[in-house]
Amino acid sequence: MSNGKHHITDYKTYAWVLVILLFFTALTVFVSWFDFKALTIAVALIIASIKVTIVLTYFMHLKYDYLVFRLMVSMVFLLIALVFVITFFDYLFR
Amino acid sequence: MEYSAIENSYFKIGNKHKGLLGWLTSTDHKRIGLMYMYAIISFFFIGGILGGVMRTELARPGQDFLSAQTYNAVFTVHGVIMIFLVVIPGLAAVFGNLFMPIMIGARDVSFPKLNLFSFYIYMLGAVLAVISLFIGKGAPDTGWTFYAPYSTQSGTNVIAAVLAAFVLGFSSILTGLNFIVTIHRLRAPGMTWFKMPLFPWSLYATAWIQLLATPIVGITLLMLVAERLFKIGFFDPNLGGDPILFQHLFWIYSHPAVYVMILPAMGVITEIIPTFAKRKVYGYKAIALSSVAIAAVGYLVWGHHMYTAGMSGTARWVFSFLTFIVAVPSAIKVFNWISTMYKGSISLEPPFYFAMAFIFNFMIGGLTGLILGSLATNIHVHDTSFVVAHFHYIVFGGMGFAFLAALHYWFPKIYGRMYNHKMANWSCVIIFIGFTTLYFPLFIIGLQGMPRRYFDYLPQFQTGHFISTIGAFILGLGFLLIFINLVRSAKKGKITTSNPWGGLTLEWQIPSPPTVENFEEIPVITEGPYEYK
Repeated sequence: MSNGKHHITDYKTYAWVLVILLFFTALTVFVSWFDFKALTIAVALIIASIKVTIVLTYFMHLKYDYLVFRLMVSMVFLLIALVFVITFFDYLFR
Repeated sequence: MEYSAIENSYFKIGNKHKGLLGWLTSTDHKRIGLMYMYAIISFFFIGGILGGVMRTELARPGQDFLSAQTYNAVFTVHGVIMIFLVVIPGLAAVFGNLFMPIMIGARDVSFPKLNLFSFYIYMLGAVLAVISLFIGKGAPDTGWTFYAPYSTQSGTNVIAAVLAAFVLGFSSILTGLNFIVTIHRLRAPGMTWFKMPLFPWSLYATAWIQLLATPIVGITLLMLVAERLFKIGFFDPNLGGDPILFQHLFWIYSHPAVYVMILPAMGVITEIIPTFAKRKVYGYKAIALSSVAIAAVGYLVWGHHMYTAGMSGTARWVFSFLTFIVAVPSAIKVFNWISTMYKGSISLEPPFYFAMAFIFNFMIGGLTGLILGSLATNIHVHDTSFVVAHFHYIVFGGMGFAFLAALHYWFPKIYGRMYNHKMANWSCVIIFIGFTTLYFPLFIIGLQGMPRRYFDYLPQFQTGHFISTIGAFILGLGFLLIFINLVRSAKKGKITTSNPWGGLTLEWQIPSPPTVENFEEIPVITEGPYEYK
């Protein structure tokens, strides 16, 4: 369903989302024990991005919203990703 | 008949309150826009006087009447007021509020109360900025850029000034949000995206920058406060921080902020030229999409402010490349403005003169921007008065002249009265001469090596500085003329018709001044906004 009307998500889905978010939180702590050198921040950001995507999709109901809103949010994510990538042209090559 | 238009307009009829309270509690987009205008013009005069004080001190070398520390404070406060209180809100908050809803055929913005709230946040930020001058250990002396690590160590009142910028950011974000929703949701029936006038298009692109870039400077400034108060090492190398990180974060916002200033200015010019050339806009879609392109690419070029800061070589050429890319959509606009005028039946009225001055100044500002965007030449002119001249050509010669153009274009619509054209034309000429005399010499002495933000200088730069100071006084005279002309005309000017310029966009199809909710019936749009026959 993607017509932007009210949609009630069942508790089971929420429970799964909670479990997945807890898993990725634990993963964030776990990976902090390893040194990925230049990729350290990239790894942390990828995990955080997955969590944010899940929150936006289910808790904030983006999955059930109009395509235009999903596109807008995607563009914002793309922009932030570009800003990070360009910033790291400095830090990685300094 | 026309006088009754004033009696029935938003000027006379407000909400349940009367007088000043009626204005201060009004959620009418036009009243809010006008309140922004009066506030912004007041701050412009304060900032302008500070600029005049600076120029007078620089008329000859050595100390005249300002100490070095006071000079530092004066250029900082001049910058903070002009950037955060005048040019960033400038066109969007004033003319965006006044006319965007009307131009898209709406009765108001989507969130009128939020709009009024934005105004009050703006005023709160303004009060904080003014307070920062007088409390604590003196006005901030960091420059408007608040560069770390100096800003983490300066004994002056940096925190209050930074918090002012932080609060003002919220006003900008909320206005941007309001405009995005309004343009998406409240366009009149039949007004598809490509039937929307180009000023709202430019505001739409601007609003996205306001929404997405402003939070970054907010967070950065809070990090600065945290470092000053709690010694958390974000930027100070002594605490393990990286000062270049501050510059990255600051310019990730502050370069797109230049487009917050200039995109609505381009939108204004795009409205004025077809009206006075009586020609359909050449390349409508190209102009509309170039606004979006400027907003998108302009987001990624911030590093050209930092070529000499110690960035990696790779980052430098990437930023230089992206900077040259952003020149393309700007050039598209200039090309289309010129092409729109080609074979038009041009009527030479004051708004058109200001628009022409804008194009001239913007071309100089833009082309000198390429000198700064190029790596090799940037090293030579970085942090010289060449940069000061370039920046003022864009922000003052561009945005400032566009503001004056907009003011003269929409003045009869706002007040229902007309100003003295002859006086307006003369003030345009005087301001243009004053502006050029003030800023052009700074290009030359900058190329010769005059550093920016210096209180004293070598005798070889005196001629340039002296000419520049004379320009400042000519400019002041021009503004005095405009002020007298417009204030007098707002009260006693000749009553005008609803469409004195023969414009086709919706604001010219309703009475001057507009009524409270703009339209008795929402219009149905069947054709594009510039279908001049």
